[in-house]
Amino acid sequence: MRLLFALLALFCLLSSAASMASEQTVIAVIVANDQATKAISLPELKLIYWRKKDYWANGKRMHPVNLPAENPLRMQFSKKILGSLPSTQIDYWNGLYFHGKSPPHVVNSEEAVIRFVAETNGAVGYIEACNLDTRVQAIAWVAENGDVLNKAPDYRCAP
Amino acid sequence: MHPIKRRSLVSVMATIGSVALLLMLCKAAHADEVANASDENGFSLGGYSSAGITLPRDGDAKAAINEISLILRWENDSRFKFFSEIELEDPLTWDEQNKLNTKESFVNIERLYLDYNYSEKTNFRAGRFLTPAGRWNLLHAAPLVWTSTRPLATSRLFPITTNGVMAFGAVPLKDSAFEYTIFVEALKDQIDDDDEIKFKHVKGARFTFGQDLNFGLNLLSFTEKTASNPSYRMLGFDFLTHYQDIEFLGEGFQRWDSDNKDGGSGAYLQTAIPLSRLNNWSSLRNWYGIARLEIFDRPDERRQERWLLGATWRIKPTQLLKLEFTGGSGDQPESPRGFLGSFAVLF
Repeated sequence: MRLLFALLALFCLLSSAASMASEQTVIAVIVANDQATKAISLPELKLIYWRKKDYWANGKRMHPVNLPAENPLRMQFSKKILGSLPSTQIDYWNGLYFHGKSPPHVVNSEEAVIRFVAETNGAVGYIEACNLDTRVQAIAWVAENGDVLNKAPDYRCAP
Repeated sequence: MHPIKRRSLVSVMATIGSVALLLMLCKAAHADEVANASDENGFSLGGYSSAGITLPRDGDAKAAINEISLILRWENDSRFKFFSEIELEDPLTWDEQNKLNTKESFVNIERLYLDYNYSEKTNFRAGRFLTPAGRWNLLHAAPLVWTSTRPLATSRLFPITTNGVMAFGAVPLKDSAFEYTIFVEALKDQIDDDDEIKFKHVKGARFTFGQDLNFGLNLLSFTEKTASNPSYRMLGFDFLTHYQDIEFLGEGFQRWDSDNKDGGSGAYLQTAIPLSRLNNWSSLRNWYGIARLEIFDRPDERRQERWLLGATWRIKPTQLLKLEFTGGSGDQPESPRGFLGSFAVLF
C-alpha cells in the first residue's frame, strides 16, 4: 500500500506536456494514378498507418510510405492522423516488428514519396498539397485543423 | 564475496560487457529502418539478445548471456506470411559454483507459424505462437520490456506458448480498432524448460480496444500437467496508457477450477516515468524510473507480494540498459529478489 502511495506521489510530480511547434500545412494523401480507390477516410488512414489494414478493396496489398521521423511533415501527419509524434511510437513499432510486421517504408524526401507511390503497386503516401503533380493522384487532404477531406480545401502555395 | 570469486565475476562481467559492446556496435536499427531490410524474395532476418547479472538476496551471484534470438520472416504480395523465432537460451552462464559454463543452454523454437490473410478482419494462423493472454506475454522480448524480470502472474498462471490454430483480425471502430484473437491448441507442447509449468487442452480468446487507452480482455481454459491434472478457466484484464509521457501498464488474472473454486490469481501494476521530466533533469534524458507492484497466488505455492524499483536507460530506440531491485515475499528462478542489471538489444 505504501508503494502505491509512492507511485501516486511520483505521478503528481509531473510537469506539463511538451508542445509541438511546427508550421502547419495542407497535406495530400496520394496513390498511383491507376489506383482504383478514389477516397479514403480518417479511420482507414489510421488503420493503414498503424499497419492494421493491409489490403485495398480490390485485394491489392498496401504499401504505406513515411517520411523520416524528424521530418516536420511526418510529425504533422503523425500528430493529426495517429494522434502522437513518431518519437513516442518507438514501443509500438518495436512491438509490431517483434510480431513480424514492418512499419511503413521510410524514404527521405517528398520527391522520393511521389516516386515510390508512382512506381510501387498498392502504395500510399503523403506530401505537401502544394507539391502534388500529375505523376500521382490525391485521394484525401489533411487540412491544417486536422480534418480529413475528400475534396481539396482552399490553400495557397508559395510562388 | 571471496576476492578470487570477485575477480572471476569481474572477468565474466568483462566478457559479457564485450558481447554487449559488440551488440551495440552492430547495426541496431530503429524499427522504421528495419522495414526496408527484407531481400528481393521477401525474406528478412532480425532478432534480439540480452545479457545481465543477478545478485540475489538469497543465493549466489550469476552472470549470463540470457538469450540470442533470431527472427526469420517472409512475406511478398501474396496473402501468406511466414514467421519464426528460434532462440538459443542461456548460451553462456557464470556462477560461483560452475564458473563459466554452457550447462543451461538449449535451443527453443519460440514461435513458428504461417499466416493467411483473408481480410484485415479475418486472418488465420497455424503453428506455434505466443499464447494471446495479456500484454507481457505477447511482447516479452528483453528489448521491449522495461525490466529484466517478468511479473510472476504473466508466466506461471497460463501457458506462454501454444501449438495450434488461431483466427484474428481488426475491425475499425470509431477512431480506433477492435481486435480479436480466438485460438485452440492442436498439438502437444514441446518439453523444453523444466522451470516451465506444462499445460494441455488450451483454448481461449483475447479482445483489445482503444489506441490512447488500450484495454484487453482474456478468456482461457486449459489443464495443467501436474499430478492431479487440474482444469482451469481464466479471466484476464489488462490496460496500457500514457499520461504526459508516463506509461501505465497493468494486468490481472483470475483462475477458477472445475468446481468453480479459486484456482489462483495474479496481477501487477507498472509505471515508467521519464526522469528528465522531473525538475527538467536534461542529463537524465532517455532514463526512465520504473516502479512495479505485484501479487501472485497459486494453489500449491504461498501467496507472494513483490515490489520492484528500477531505472532503465534507452540508449537507442532498440537498446535498453536496465537496473532494478526486487523485494517482497517469495522467490522464483526467473524472478529472484535482489539486484538485477541487464543490457538488451533488438537488431
